[in-house]
Amino acid sequence: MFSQLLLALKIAFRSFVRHGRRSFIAGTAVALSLAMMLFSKGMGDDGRARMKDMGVRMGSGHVLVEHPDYRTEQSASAAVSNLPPLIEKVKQMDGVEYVAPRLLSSGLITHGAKSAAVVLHAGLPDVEVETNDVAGKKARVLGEYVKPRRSREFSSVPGDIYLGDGLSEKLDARIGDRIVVTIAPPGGGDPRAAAFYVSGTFHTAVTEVDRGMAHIDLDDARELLGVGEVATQVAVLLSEQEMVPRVTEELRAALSERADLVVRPWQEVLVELHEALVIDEASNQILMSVIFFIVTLGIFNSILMSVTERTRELGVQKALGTSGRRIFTYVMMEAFILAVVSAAVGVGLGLAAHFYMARHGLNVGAMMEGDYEFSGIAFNGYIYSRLTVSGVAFWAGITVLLVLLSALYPAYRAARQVPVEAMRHV
Amino acid sequence: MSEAKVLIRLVEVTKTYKTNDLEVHAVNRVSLTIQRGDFVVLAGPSGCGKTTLMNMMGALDVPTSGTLEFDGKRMDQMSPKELSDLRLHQMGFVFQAYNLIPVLTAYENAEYVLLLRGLGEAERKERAGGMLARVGLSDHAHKRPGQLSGGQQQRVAIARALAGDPPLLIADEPTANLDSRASQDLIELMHAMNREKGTTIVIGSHDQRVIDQADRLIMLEDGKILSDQRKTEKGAPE
Repeated sequence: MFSQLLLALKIAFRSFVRHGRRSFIAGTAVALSLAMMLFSKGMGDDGRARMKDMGVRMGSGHVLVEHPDYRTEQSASAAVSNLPPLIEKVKQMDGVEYVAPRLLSSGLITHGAKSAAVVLHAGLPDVEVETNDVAGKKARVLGEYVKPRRSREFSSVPGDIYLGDGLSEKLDARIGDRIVVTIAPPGGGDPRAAAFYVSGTFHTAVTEVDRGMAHIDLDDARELLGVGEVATQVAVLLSEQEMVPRVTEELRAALSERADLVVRPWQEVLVELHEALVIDEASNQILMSVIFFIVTLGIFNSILMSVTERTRELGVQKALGTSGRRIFTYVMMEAFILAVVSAAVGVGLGLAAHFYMARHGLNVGAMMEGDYEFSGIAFNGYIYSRLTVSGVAFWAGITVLLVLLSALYPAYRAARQVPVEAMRHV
Repeated sequence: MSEAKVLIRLVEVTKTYKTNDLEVHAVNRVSLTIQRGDFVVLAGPSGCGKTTLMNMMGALDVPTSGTLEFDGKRMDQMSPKELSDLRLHQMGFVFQAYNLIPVLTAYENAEYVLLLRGLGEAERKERAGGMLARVGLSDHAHKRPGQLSGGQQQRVAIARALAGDPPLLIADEPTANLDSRASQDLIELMHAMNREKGTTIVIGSHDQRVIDQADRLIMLEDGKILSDQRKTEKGAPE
């Protein structure tokens, strides 16, 4: 049995080598397709992961705890109360890095004779600079982020406000200028107003954020709105994105007794971004599938040609008593050698590209000549390649499988040949 | 004639090829028996039906009508697998165009059938190596067919056909591409196998040197048997 398997392998390998040019062309097509697939997957996965990361760091967090009605009311009237025990509970969970209570509201911002609509984002400044890219140095254009209210010597002194650069321009406001924010309190009644000093400006490249958002301290926002120790949302930042499903489920279980809370993963909050990423990944896979399909047709043609050219040779083998099943095995074995060699070369090329891009990266900002806006987030940095062993093994396996599938019909045809007819073939 | 001695029996065997509306009877209602140990030459001009007849005897082709038996078993009732096993275990073939497997060496070609039969390495080595030595190609055992001359390739084909020690050897125009000396050596080898091991030999040829060596000469013309003679003790066909 072993010696017969060895014979099949010997015949298959020598046929593979003997038809070197055809084997080289077919193998190169398979290897390059696989390498391209791995490159595309590595870059695509990293790009999407970075966009997810940017999305969650633009405000939503990986997991969001909020009032069930907040999505429809969009105001502080649907706020989460009894915060300290909630925050403590969330902080205890495995994988949680930061817990960021936030109060979102909208109002009117005025500087001198100029005014504009604004979305006020209020949080704990120390936490925001760690969890929110808008608050971080990367987005900062001028000045500083908001200083915590508790660091001010007199609470009566106006707090800091951090403006989008578009908003700052619209209001003609500079660092240190005094501006007024007016909002409608959540319970109704007369509008409430408070003064702030501009501490800094930011630029995200997302127009609606840069022209319509301002950050203030959480306590200043509570005072302005006239609400207690509440938040419209509590954003939870995790050490890894992969933890989102687990932490979401654990949070839902842990907070099940609180009917005033819902727990949403980022995919339910940043619906547009999530769908765009899903579509991007799917379209990438469809494109690669089309390429693989075309390559499979090429391999099919190559193996069919190889079998047709060797009709006489295979006919002689049948005449000598080789069974159809064994002829089938010879052809499949040859396809297997082609598949394994080209998959190995493809993995080698793909990994070479991966290691280069994982080290040097691709400057998307330079390629786009500026910022690249994608479903509500702005991308202006580098993307690097990221691949997992299982991902590489999966695509190498798919490659081998496709080559073997494309060899099935030629092998079947070779096995079914009538010896005397095959031997007449020139 | 003893039934036990009959190896191949053909009864009213016809093979018809259709080309457009034209029917050509390559073999036309041939009835014939080949006995164990026969050394038969099928002779006749090109197109007389020698190859078609031998292809059917060798289970490489099936008749359009008539019955064909090998060792008492109807070949037309066998499955492709049974026919394949029949060729593997009971027959050896030598073709005009050598038909060696190009990717295997001379030794591996001679060993091929033995491997398919599942013989052990020692026995394969003894048989394939022994046959290559017998045809004088021990020194060329590791050469591929492309590195051998036509005569050498045909000797490898003979070694391959006989290494398995089959009861029946079918050779179609085996001397067509050989010089006189090589032809003589080949016929002598076949005779030796016929004498020593009782191998039944069926040769299709129009080479007079081969015809002269026949123990039994069957002349074909237009797909029919014209004559079927055995050699007299004096040497000339009856």
